[in-house]
Amino acid sequence: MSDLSPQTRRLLELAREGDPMPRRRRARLETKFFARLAGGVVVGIAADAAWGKAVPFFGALTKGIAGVALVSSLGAGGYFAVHALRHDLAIMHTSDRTHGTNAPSTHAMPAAQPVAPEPAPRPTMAPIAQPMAPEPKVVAALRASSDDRREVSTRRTVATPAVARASRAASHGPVATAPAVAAQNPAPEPAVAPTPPEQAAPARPPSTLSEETHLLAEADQALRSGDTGRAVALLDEHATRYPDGTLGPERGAERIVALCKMGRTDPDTVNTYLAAHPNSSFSDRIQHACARILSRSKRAAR
Amino acid sequence: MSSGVHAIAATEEACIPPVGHSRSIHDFREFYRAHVEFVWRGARRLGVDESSVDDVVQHVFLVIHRRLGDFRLDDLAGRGSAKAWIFAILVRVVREYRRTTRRKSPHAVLPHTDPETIEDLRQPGPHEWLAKVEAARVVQQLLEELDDEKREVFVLAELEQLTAAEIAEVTGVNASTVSSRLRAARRDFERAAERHRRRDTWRLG
Repeated sequence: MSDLSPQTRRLLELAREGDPMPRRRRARLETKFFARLAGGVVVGIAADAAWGKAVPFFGALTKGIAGVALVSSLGAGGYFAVHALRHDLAIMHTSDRTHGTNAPSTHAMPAAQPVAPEPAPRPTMAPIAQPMAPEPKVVAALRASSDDRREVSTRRTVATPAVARASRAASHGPVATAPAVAAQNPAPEPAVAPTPPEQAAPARPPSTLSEETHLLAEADQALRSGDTGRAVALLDEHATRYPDGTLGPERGAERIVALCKMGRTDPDTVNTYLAAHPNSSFSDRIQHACARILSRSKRAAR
Repeated sequence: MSSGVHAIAATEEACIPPVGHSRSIHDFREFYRAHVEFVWRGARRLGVDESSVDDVVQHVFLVIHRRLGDFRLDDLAGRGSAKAWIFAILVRVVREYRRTTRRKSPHAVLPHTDPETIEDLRQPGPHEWLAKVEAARVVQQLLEELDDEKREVFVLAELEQLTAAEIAEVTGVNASTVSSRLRAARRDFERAAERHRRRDTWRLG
């Protein structure tokens, strides 16, 4: 069946494993990717107009870089570094355990999930993805059931910035998605989400990386400008809205810094966090912010 | 969905986040981690040059991220193979990449060794590793002698070890075309390998 010589076969066999992705490069790429992912969306919100309808293929990514810069300037860039450094800890869960408010609740909204396809990133992600003309069969088959949703999303991508924003505002996180998707989709799955009524309000922003990033960036800004109370409030809001969010670990770190600055935490919490995230790029910041609290515990130990 | 894709699904089950409870965007990072290496390697093998490979990988995941909005990871795990699905996206992103960077930039021609690849050599048995890394380097070089269409099927068949049916599914090319392309690709690759061996022998001899 093959025209390959045994020598060539052997060469290919060896080559299959001869190209591992270098660890550090992997880490760097992950940091960059998630920053870009969030950054691109930030650009979409801050400068919708800059995203023309026909963004050239790699042009879109270049603009994404601008987005990263924007996020970084808001102080959010650091959120992503953490993950790169600890990507061996495959699951991000530990930070939430260190303080009560952030109890993970994976099962909080099972009924809303099936019809909650993360609508928000589309307005900005879509222009990038649109040049992907021929849709793979595999994908087509997988998506056969979501055709009408796709239409909705396509329409959204060509909408004006204002409309895009409006549609984003009218959509909602996993919690609140059910009603609006039901409205778009004539044959909705039974969406009896066991969620508190106020969370089901359609005005809730969507639980997406972009919204999460926004919230955390705002909190970070508040924290850096000395408005610790507001920072904590925003972080708590993040915890309530996205108990299981992608940026949970970042929220945890940020929260510790805030609480330390307010003197409202204890050394154990801080040490537990630091022990759980030994490589976190937040470590320095936490240690700096919590120096007084930590030294107090050392004195007490003596 | 063809049986081919299901066949890959069986071998790839392990890469897919466990099914059973609600999963959404917060699983994306896990999904990313489970597949980034294979996307990265695939991109290189498909002929994306070193300086653009990160961009291509990111682009693939941006597309995945967007598409994941249309169905859940559960669907992916239950109904098909993540690997085949990702490959289908990767192949298209790479094609698009080739269209936009039609003729290679002068930098792209220079073989480039990522210094970080070298530090990874400290893993088990330096000889074994060197042999593998060297083989990968040579194969990469030989792949460059294939034209894009042939390289695509060759990489999927010989390096990623997909069957012809799976390749047809992933590339959107019909199965008989895949077979004939693969035959031609093997012939070309073999010739290139033979030339390479002769060069080496000459140099050593």
